[in-house]
Parts: sequence; structure tokens; C-alpha cells
Amino acid sequence: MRWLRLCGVACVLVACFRPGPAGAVEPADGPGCLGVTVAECVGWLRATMTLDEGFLADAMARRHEVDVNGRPLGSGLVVVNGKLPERPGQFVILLHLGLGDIVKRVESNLTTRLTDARTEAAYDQSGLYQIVWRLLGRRCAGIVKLDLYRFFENSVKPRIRQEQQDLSKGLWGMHRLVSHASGVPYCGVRFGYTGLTEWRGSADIRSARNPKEFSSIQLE
Amino acid sequence: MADDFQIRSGGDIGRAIAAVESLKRALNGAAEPVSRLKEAFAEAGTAVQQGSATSAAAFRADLRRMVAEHAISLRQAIGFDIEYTAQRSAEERARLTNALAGDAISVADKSSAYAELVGLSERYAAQLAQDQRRIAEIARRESDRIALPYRYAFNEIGAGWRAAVTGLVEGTLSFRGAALEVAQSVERSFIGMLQTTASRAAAGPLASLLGVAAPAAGEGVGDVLGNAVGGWLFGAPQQLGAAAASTANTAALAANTAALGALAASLGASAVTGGASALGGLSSAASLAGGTASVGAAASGGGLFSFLGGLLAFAGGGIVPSAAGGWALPNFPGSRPALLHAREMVLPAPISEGLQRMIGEGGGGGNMHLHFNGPSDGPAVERWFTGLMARNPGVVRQMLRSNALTPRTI
Repeated sequence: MRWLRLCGVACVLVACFRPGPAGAVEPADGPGCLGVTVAECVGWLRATMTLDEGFLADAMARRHEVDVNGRPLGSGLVVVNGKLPERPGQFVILLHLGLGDIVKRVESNLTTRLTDARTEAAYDQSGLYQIVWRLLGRRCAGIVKLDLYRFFENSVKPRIRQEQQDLSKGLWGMHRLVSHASGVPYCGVRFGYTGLTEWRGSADIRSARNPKEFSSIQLE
Repeated sequence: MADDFQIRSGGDIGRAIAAVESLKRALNGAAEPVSRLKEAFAEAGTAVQQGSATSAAAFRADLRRMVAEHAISLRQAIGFDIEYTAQRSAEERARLTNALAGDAISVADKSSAYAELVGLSERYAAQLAQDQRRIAEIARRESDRIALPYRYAFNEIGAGWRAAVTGLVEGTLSFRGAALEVAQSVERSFIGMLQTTASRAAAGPLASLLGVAAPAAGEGVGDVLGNAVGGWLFGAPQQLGAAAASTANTAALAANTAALGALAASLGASAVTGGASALGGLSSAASLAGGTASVGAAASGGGLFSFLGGLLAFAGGGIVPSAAGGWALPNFPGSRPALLHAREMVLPAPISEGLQRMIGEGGGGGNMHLHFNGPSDGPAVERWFTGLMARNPGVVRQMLRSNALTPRTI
């Protein structure tokens, strides 16, 4: 009987002190990045993704840099390099600061272009949801992945305007295709998207070989 | 009035059309410079990247040369490379950040600068990861290099113990003979470890005395001497032309043949247990310089100059012509190609060293009949040996009495 009691106490102690499963961080857990100070934003990003601290310290130190006449040099831009958990690609987040170090505009790159994306898997691959919920935080606490993708597919894509720029001509001519949409309302902020395709050779993008593609989102 | 009005109106329209035409011409004229400006802007980034890549290539070529000249270690070179990469990356980041912060540029140009910034970050992260992998690999190799002589020494003790136990079991050794066998193996191993340690401790001061770069981890007096004399004789490896290399190879052939002759002459007489004579000390230093028993034996046999010739002959590289006359290479980093004749073979370094040591000890004695059973790694043997010594203090007393174990010998 004595052993039985001792075992019971031990089981209770183990149950009490065993750490529970670590809960995943959710959008409602943090302030996001828009309309908060840069320190809060960086702290939240640090809690949800791996940041390159070396570059970050330098960027934070330079955000108030002024020239010899006392004029600001940094233009209130802080560049944050980071990686999402279990994703190989680098994300570079641009924090545009206003008065009082408040973040007034955020930009982030995506790992793939969204203009051709149709399926959930294709959107997943771009990192759109992973980045947007981090940047919005509790401002958009109830964000649902599929809803975001549908918003992009149905509200952003129709507003995308494409413009081709032929920077130079000839066999080695340089060409760009810019896809841009801005100011689309989403969760109390204005959502923007920019896609850029650069290639050399013929002006026809269909004949482009190894085009350089880049896409980014803007929230303000 | 109406006619006047129409005429006047027509005149106004004509002037307006002319003005619009002139504006169109001006715009068309401006389109070309604007296009060129945009192209220049696009090319500027590429040019900066190319310039940066050229500078980086030159910097890395310098580092490689310095490593080859032993002015810096590989680990230092990688550290400098990381620092340089970070500096260049920071400069490029600053340029791109300034471009992104400005409001004057178009969406396309901004996006292009942003894409470049992301590309730069990815390249930097990849480079950093690669450099860190290389540093980890170098650290692992250095650690192995430091530990190898000690591991080998304890393996040798283990071999001695096995020989003793086997001899006892098979009845080929008496208890006294077995104890002596064990004591000799322990003594040899300890002396070897002490020599290695002393050589490594002396390598740093010797390097500063000779004015050469500090030795890397695990390098001894021999490495420092080899690097220094090699540098004095041959200069930088890049300065050594093909003709010079050919001459060095010929010299190497002669020097190594001489060293081998001296080795053959001295094999029978070399005392591996180590003496306290000056020549013995020289032999120890030389064997550390060479890193193999054969070279040490050659030196102790009086062939010091042959030994140095043999050691330095391959300092600048070269091909071992063939093993027709017998070849035993000194210790050196990296590897050398060799030609083989029919029925010749190449032995791994431990087997080669063991074989040479066996020949040096009298050649194929009956007490070298070994059976290997169970674990024989350094820590296991060390534990075994420590316990056995504790249980047999008489053996230690006997060694001390017979002067086999004195402060001078260790």
C-alpha cells in the first residue's frame, strides 16, 4: 500500500511538472509590424522567424544616421533579413519608418511570382501567407490561409497592371515586365503587389531564356 | 466677322498643331537619352557586381598565395574571407538600401534594386554557410591531427600488452619477459608522446625565431623547419616554374636515394627506445621533423644532410619517380603522385611505419606474433594499462631500478 501511494504521488508530480506541448505562435499573439514601433516589430519577427542579427544590428544603428549638416541619411528604412522556419529561402523585409520610429509601410519579397499561381500549393510555395500573418499580427487575428489566397486571386489579380519596358534593343537587349497593383484594402491595411521579370534578348517574353523573376508585397 | 473669326481660329489651331508637333519631336528626341539613362541604370548594378566579383577574386587569390607560402593558416584565410565578404556585402547593401529608400525612382527600378538586395542576401548567406562548413572541417582535421600521435601511442601500448599476454598464454614468454615487453612498449609510447608534445611546444618559439608564420594546430618543429627552409630555398610556390620543379625533382631523386642509403645503413643500429646522447636528441628532432621513424632513423645514422635533402626535396612538390630503389617519403601536407613497377605495392602510412620500425628493432623477432581480440582503442588500453600498473607496482620499481624509466628518458 505504501508503494502504491508513493507511485501515485510520483505520477501526480510528473503530470504537474511535465511541460506541455509548445503552442504554435499565432497572429493574435503579436503586434505585427504596421503602426507599431520598429523595436516591437523586430521583436515580434524575431519571435516568429530566424533573423540575421548581424545585419539587423547594423540596420537599426543606421536608421537615425545623419550627414554633417544634420540631415537624415537613412530615410527611415530598416532592412531585416530572415528565414522562415523549415523554408530554405531568404526573406528581406523592408520597414519604412515614420515619426517616432513607427513603421508606416512594410515590404517583403516572396519566393515565387504570384501572377501565375492558381492553386493553394502554388501560393504556399511563395510564402505569402507565412509573411502576411507575421506582418499583420493581431490586426488580422482571424486570418485564414485560403481566404488570403482567394483575396489575392479575386481582388488583387484583377487590379494588376502590366507594363513592358525595353531598356535596350538588339541581341543582348534588356527588357522588363513589371506587374503592379497597389492600395487594395485588406484587414484594415492597403495591400500591394509588384512582380518583376527581367530578361535579355528578344523583346518577346515567350522567347526569354532564364528570365530573372522577383515579386514582393507591400502593406501600409 | 464670321470669316475673320474662322481665319483667326484656323491660324491659332495651326500654331497649336505646330507647337504640339514640336513637343512631339522634343519628346521623341528625349526618348533616346531617357532610354539610354535607364539602360545605364540597369547596367550599373551589373557593373558593380562584376567589379565586386573581380575584387573578391583578387583578394582570394592573395589569400591562396599567402596560405601556400605558409604566411597564414587556412583557418585564418577563411576568417579573413568571411570578414571581407561581410564588408563587401555591407557596402553593396548600403548602396541598394539608399536606392530603395529614395522616392524618386520608378516602381520597376525600385523592384529591380529590391531583387538585387534579395539576391545579395542569398549569396552572402550561402557564402557564409560554405565558409563555416570549411572552418568546421578544418577544425575536425586539426583535432584529428593533434590526437593521432597520442592515439597511436596508446595503440602501441595495447599491441605490447597483447603480445605479452599472447606470449604468456602460448608459453613463449616468461612472466619476466612479458613484463619487460609491456614495459618497453609503454616506455616507447610515452617517449613518443613526450617528443610530440615537446616538438609542438617548441614549434611556436622556433617559428618566431626564424621569422616565419606561427605553426598551425598540431604542427611541430619539423613542420616549422620544413616550411622555413622550403620558403628560403624555393620562395613562393607560384614562383617555382616548371623547369625549377623538374630540377627539384632530380635533386629529390638524388637526395632521397642518399637518405635511403643512410637509412639502410643505420637501421640495424638505431635505438628506438631513445638515448640521451646529443645525436639521439637530434634524431628525435629529426624524426619529428619527418614525422616517420624511417627519417628519424636516417638522421640518427649520421645522414642528417641526406635527411634534410630528402625532406626538402619534395617541399615544392614533385613526382616520386618509382619505387625501384626503395622510397620512404618524409612527412608533408597533401600527397604526391608516384610511379609503380610490376609487383610493387604501396603501403598505408601506419603499416609502412610499423614495418620500418620492426626492421629497425632487429627485424622480424619471434615476439612480434600478435593476435588482436576485443577493442584496442586508446582510452580502453589506457584504462587497462593504468589498472595493470596499479596492480603491479613492482614493474615500475624494476624499470626505475634498471634506469629504463628516468626523468631524462621521458
